[in-house]
Amino acid sequence: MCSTVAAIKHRKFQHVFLLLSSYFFFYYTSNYLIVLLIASTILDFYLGKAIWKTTDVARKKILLIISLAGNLGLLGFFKYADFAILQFNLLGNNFNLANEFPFLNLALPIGISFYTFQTISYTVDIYRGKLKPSESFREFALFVAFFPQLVAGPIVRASEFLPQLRGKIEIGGGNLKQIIIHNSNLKLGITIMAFGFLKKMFFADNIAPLANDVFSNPVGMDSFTIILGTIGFGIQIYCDFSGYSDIAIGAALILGFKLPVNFNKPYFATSPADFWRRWHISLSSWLRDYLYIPLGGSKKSGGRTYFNLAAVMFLGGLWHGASWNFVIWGMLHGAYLAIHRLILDKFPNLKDHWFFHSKIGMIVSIFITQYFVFLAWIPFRVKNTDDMLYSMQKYVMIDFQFSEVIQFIISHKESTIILMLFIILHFISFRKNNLIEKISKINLKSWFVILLIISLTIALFYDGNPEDFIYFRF
Amino acid sequence: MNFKITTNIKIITIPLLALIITFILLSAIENSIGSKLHENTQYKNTIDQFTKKDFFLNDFTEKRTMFLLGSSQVQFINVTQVNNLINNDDILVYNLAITSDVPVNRIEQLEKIISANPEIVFYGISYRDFQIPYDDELLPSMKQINLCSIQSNFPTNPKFITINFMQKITPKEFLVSKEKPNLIKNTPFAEYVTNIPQPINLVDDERIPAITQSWNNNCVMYENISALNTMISELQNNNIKIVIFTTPLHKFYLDSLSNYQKELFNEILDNLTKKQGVRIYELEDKYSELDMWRDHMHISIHESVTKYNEDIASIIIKESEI
Repeated sequence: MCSTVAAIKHRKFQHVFLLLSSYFFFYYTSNYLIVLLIASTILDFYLGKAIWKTTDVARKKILLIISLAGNLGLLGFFKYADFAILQFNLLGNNFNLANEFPFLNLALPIGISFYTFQTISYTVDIYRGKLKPSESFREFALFVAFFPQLVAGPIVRASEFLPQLRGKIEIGGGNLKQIIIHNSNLKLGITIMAFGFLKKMFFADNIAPLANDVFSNPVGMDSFTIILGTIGFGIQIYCDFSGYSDIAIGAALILGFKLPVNFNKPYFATSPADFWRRWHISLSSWLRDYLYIPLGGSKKSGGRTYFNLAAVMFLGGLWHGASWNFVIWGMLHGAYLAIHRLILDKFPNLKDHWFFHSKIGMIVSIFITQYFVFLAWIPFRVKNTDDMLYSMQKYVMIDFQFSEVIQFIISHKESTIILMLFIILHFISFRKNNLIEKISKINLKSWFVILLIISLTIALFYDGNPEDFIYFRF
Repeated sequence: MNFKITTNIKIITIPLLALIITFILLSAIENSIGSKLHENTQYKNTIDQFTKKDFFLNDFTEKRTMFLLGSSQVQFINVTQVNNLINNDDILVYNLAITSDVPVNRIEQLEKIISANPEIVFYGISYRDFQIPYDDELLPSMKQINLCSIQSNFPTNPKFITINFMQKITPKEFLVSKEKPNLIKNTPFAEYVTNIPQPINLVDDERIPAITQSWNNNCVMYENISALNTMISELQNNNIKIVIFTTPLHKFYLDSLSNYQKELFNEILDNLTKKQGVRIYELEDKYSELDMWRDHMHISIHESVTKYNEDIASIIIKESEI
């Protein structure tokens, strides 16, 4: 009995327990595809050690290439094989080739887009000499499979996570440091999770019907209806994804781990570059550090910089899914970034112009930026080219018809009211910095009231048919 | 070695307490306001939208009366066309469809239907009437039946109660469409829009799997099967013939259904035939690839769409001659 209690109290046991729980969580959702997760983990654990140990530069490079090929090959095969076959068959049809390749109908392993990027960051950081490899497979496996962020991010860097794991264990003379779950972490973690659930289950799920009813068949709709649907989808995807990130971050914090912030009020961005510093930060920073900078970043000529931006966003769009609409979304953002860069290069004084630092200038910048950001959501959301072209045309060339949108709003009263409520609350949270942290520090009675309001709000608007998390598909 | 969790027990207790209070309040609301809302006045106060009087107080003895029952999928049968196609002055068909109708609701109207003494009742049913679960991972049937009475007290759709409550307390004219509904003769309980759109080309909608896959409550299925069986028995006991037809569905909708759902639905139909002796006309895939749809579940009621009405008229003629 004493040895059992001692074993349970042992830190390594707790890490193993956390690892097995994460694997069980993954197995429950993905069944036998857990083999891929474990294979990716084993591959990069041993390759990481080998890269670190070898001093031969050429050999280091080869080992890194093997790691990249393994991870990207896995991702490419499961995510893009059928897409490639489809394009090949379509091309073949154009050239009247008789044979069509059959589809593989592969199941998309949940979280594969996220954990492959995590393990890539691990081997690349070791190659760059920025990170020491894990001595313990248990430690590395827990980094890869940590359940709060396994399925849909945030994409965590090994350099951020492993020190947190290692800092909880000091191995010296057989003594292990205590793991302490702090009151503040617990309270903050629960608060973050509560707001995450509010964003997802109250805002995203209740605004979804409005966006769905516009984009299920947008052809024939008036401009203002399309615009309303676009705004609805933009808010839906933000609340859905940032809500999930908050739940993941809050759950990790309760366990004593700090995951990186993934969203920072992206709909208040004042430029395309600013938007990508605020939206899906873990992905955009990953693309910057492991793709954009190796391509040369902004250190090359102007033309090369613009190409780098476009290429990175093309791949960023493709990462979201094997479909041309995601590629178009990515390329639009690439174009925005390139054009923004071009303008700043041509008119460098604009950056420091007094107007853009004034309140009105910031508001104008926000509106212009968000106009283009929401335009790009259209290809992300629609099903086919006809819907996309029609919707984008109606978004850009407004027909100033009001009757349909008024009828639409009346028939979607609840969704519209909730959408407006979100805009108001989001503006308030933009003005008040660190609102959630402040809420987590209030006294327990007030904290209880806020949690009760949140849970009642979610519950009273729950219709028994929750929408799936949008980013689970990626 | 030392291991210490320095947590304040209150921090863990408070969110749990909030959840428990939320659940208790929700159940209380469901069992008080919710049960009144679920009573569904459409079934109790059967007011004819034309005459503004109780439809079942009409005199049905002059002609051979036929009733069409069902949800919106039956609502889009143009009963004026059907009566014209039947072309028999002795027969009058009424479309008593009610939007979102399911057997557990319709049974509240049974007494009134029987009192009207129709010759034949044609009941249109579909997968949504039973909300057949997507797969069979749920508890075995016997255990589920035992849990149904407990589950019925669990709030399953709080949003329905919240929205209805908000509609009741807001002024009637607040944000209400001023457009007058289009009323089709002999359809006392359903409204139609003034400008009925032409049929549209449908796309494969990602929402349909979300709908057909979201049904996961065996209790709902059993309750509706039980209600339908009771209605059939009661009608037959009162010498009212009942005929079942399965309502049409678009191909994309049918493709979203699992094999389990299709098998179970067929089993329900088989039982109706074998145990209740009811004749069934299966129309669910008859028009699935034709160009006559309003949406994936509803045939267009536009005047150019006649096939559905013609088939319904044929069924009525055939059954009225037997």
